[in-house]
Amino acid sequence: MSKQQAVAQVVRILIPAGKAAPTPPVGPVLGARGVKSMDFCREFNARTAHIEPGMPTPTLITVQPDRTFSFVIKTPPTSYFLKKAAGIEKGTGKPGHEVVGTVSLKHIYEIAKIKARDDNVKHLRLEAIARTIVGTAKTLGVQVVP
Amino acid sequence: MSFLQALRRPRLSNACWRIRTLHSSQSRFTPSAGDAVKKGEASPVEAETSAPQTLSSCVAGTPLEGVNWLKNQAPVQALPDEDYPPWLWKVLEPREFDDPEKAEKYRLRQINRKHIREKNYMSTQ
Repeated sequence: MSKQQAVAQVVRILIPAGKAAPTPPVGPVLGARGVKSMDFCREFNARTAHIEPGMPTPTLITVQPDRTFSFVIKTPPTSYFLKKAAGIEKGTGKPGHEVVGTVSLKHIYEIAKIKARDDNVKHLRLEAIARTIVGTAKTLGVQVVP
Repeated sequence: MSFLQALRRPRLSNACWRIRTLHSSQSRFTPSAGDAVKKGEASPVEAETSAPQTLSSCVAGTPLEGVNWLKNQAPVQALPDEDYPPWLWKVLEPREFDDPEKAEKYRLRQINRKHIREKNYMSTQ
């Protein structure tokens, strides 16, 4: 690297909403980059206060060289919603060959409405988002019925 | 699966194909009030899209689980079929285009991607 420490570091991590601050997942990851985990956890819990506690929330934390941080919160993973809707714990080990759960198109619609709030799909129509969710269901082994 | 892959691999169990072919069956679903079809998982019966009354196997009023993600959110219920946008019932079918150029572009992209996947697979063999 030509520059010594001018690069901002990005951490991608899945944190249960409203329940940050456990040492194992969050603490060492942030501590290694010089961020006070208590500050982050306080801010994270405040920002996820409107979300159902315990929901896995993907966050993207950007740590600047001067140890300040900012983070972006995204909607919970699609696979998480699908597994809850189909009532299964894990997806199949053989997608395309095994079916482990069923979900209705109405579920897909509701999940698409939630995912539409993400920044990275703002340019897509709701129909397009619904199709991506159907694709995710396919890889999980969850069958979508009308 | 590509033709090459189909040749290489032995056919796995046909259970999934049986379920898949039910998609094309034209059996009519009659929602009965006492049945309480949970999440449309009773049986993989498809409703004809030509019959407007029974588009969905999920009866209106069924609680949709897994969709509550906000705190203190009321349980989400399935609405009657008419309240959903018409494109929803076509989401499981391949896309259709009015513009032939777009259709061609989509088709070519699919072919290219498939070709790349096959090439990548063959390079591991």
